[in-house]
Amino acid sequence: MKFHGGYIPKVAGRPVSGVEKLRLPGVLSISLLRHGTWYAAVVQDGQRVQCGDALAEASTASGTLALPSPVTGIVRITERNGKNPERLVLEVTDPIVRPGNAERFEPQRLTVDAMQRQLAKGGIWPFFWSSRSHGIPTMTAEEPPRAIIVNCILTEPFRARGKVVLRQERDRIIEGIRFLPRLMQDYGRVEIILADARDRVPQAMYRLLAGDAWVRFHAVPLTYPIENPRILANALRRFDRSLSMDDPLWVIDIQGVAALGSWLGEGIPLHRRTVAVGGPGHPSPKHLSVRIGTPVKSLMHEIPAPERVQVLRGGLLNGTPVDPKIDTVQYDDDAFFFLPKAPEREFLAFLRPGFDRTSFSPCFASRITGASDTHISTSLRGEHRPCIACGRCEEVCPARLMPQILHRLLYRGAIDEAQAAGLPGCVECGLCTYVCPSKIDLQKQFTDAKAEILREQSESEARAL
Amino acid sequence: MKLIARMLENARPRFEGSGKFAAFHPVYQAADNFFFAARDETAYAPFGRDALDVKRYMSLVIVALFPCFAAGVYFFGLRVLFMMLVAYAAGGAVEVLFSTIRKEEINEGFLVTGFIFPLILPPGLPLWMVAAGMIFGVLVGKEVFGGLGRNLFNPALIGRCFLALSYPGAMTKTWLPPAGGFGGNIFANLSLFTPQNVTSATPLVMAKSGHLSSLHQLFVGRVAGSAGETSAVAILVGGAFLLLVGVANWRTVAGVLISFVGLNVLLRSAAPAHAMPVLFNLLSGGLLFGAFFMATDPVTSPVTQWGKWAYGILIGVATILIRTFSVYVEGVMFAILLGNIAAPLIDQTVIRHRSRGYRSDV
Repeated sequence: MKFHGGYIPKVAGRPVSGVEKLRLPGVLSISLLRHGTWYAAVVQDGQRVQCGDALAEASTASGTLALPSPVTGIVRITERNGKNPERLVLEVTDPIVRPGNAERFEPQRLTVDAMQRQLAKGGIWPFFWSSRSHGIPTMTAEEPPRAIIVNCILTEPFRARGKVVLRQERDRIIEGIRFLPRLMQDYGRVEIILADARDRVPQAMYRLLAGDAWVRFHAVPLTYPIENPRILANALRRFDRSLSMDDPLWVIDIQGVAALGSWLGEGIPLHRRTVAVGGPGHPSPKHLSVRIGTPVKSLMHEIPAPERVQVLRGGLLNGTPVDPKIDTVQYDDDAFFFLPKAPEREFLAFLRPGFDRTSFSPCFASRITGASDTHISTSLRGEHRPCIACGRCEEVCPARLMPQILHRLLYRGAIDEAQAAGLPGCVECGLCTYVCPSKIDLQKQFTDAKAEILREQSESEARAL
Repeated sequence: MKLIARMLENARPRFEGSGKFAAFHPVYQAADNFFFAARDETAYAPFGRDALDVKRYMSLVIVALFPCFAAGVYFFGLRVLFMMLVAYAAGGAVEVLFSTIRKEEINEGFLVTGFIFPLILPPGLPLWMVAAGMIFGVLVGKEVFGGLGRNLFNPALIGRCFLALSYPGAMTKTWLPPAGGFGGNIFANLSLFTPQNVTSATPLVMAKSGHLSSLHQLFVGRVAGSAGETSAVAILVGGAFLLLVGVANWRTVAGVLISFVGLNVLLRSAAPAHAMPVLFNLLSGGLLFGAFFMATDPVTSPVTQWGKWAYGILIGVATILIRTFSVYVEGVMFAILLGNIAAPLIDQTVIRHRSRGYRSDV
């Protein structure tokens, strides 16, 4: 498969391989917001729940989805607005996760409907991405996919590396892949994306999967944002000409498949995530196996001055700030990036050779020494300037767009022209914004404009009805 | 460093709000920005950003221009430095005036314009003309369009074009003979007006009458010409640096040089009486300087990558055609200005072509 553009910023604080298990805290906290949807609690204050029981449910276009309890314990609703709480607190009574009374299935004996219900109940369904809805696939209305892409690569600094998860969860992943053909059209293919197809783990996978699923491996270059589902789906369409533009494709990442395998195959509910903690603000970057609901604070005990660090949920490029006092590890988390807060302003910084900072352009001494960026922080690292048309955004754009042109069009409000120039193709990877020397918030501009386009479309549709 | 920080901090109230010099806030801000790294923090994702900013970008251009400047001082004297100081003072005054009126920050772009402008002028030009050209260039070439990033033309070239059309005599007859040996000409030609020993014989002028300068002299730069344009070796060193650090776009440079050499070879074989030899043409005049430092100005060249190829080729072709078939001996300035005019059109074409592909994508 071929990819365009892309770039991985070389930043200090890359997590080491190998997964440490984090001690289970006595109290977990679950946010009822997942993928932009609020879930309504179906448990009461003081209720005892088993690991895997539904804590909250949401009726969406994708069907009724549930949030499973990651632990056996007692529910506490501490918020004053007890009816529609935003988060649930769980007091842990039993740290051990048992298969319990959950059903176990054989891939061959499972109907599509039963599988979909089970995935929705286990909180696994939202791990899928569909090229039809550009989000969670709708459960019944949607045509089954021609292929499911299993993505084993997360290149954004620093998300849980596929190889680490692959080593850790090999059997569950294989189990999960066995189930995927049930969701697809006949002769649907599982496309596995990884960095090195000759590695021993994929080799073993290939042997073990023979006969169960029609599997194809793709070795791809390690460049951000290869993990983006739209980038993967488009690349697969270009690679496999038998797929038409209308054929639905689904994407799921490797941790999702592992959770699917252990839920359907072993009856073990979704209860933990492998999370990468990294970035220049973390003294010992690593991978951690963490129970869902664990406070972000407990990932930070090694950091000497936590108030000088901005914690981002996700990687450097797409991460969003979290408040370590409140926030906890959620169902979809696989990384927390620890970005130091802006330091004191440097004196004549632009004249320094730059052994401690990196750039997309080879204009710092770090390019010679190969050093990574230890200097990166929440600072903008430059003043807002008008676009100087240097073209770096066009070079990195993975969607083959010309962000500098879109910026000019949107700057003068020509939203229709921007749409014609490819704006809806933006995958919001954040690279253009990252590399811009004029520090223009391109991604913000593009997301706003896309939202505006969607709003106008729905308005005109409403008028047409 | 702490001293400067304290001075700036103490002066701050006077430049803000109802302070005495509040109107000159851009000046204060420029000083603050110059000495200290950015104050702003990221407001939107990505929350960490690339280390390159416009300040670094522009200062790399100045670093790359330094060999040309040094060669200019060596061959034509400290006069080149004075010309630069005058250019900075004149250009800076216009820039400050406009950012004060517009209440915008002073941009780093004028640092490059002020540095580059004297290097493309005849070194014997009276200093008042340098100031006049610079003021015209910054004013008409940049500020009336809205400042850095919005200008259509390269301000330095607009300034030079203005001088060439207003004072054709001075602009064609105030070349200085280059110096050689240890120490060069550093302390000669220090007159404020036109120095005594001016000449009108640049290699391209002499070539029209059949006398070709030696390639060795052209390569080193020991010929009469614009202050920073004569020494091919200095330009190549600076240009290579600029390409290496990724500030100049290699597509533009390659486009100019390939099309220039290609068409020159063709013309030389078709009409040897008109066209000069390829190497001579390449090394003389402002071609190399133009290709590496003027055409690569990102603001006035097309913003699309394919557009940069087309732009480079247009400039290369126009230069050789002007040099070979017109009364002008030098064509780089007009060729680049022509390229500037064509840049938006080139961009439109590329965008239209690329837009066709988007509809079929997911």
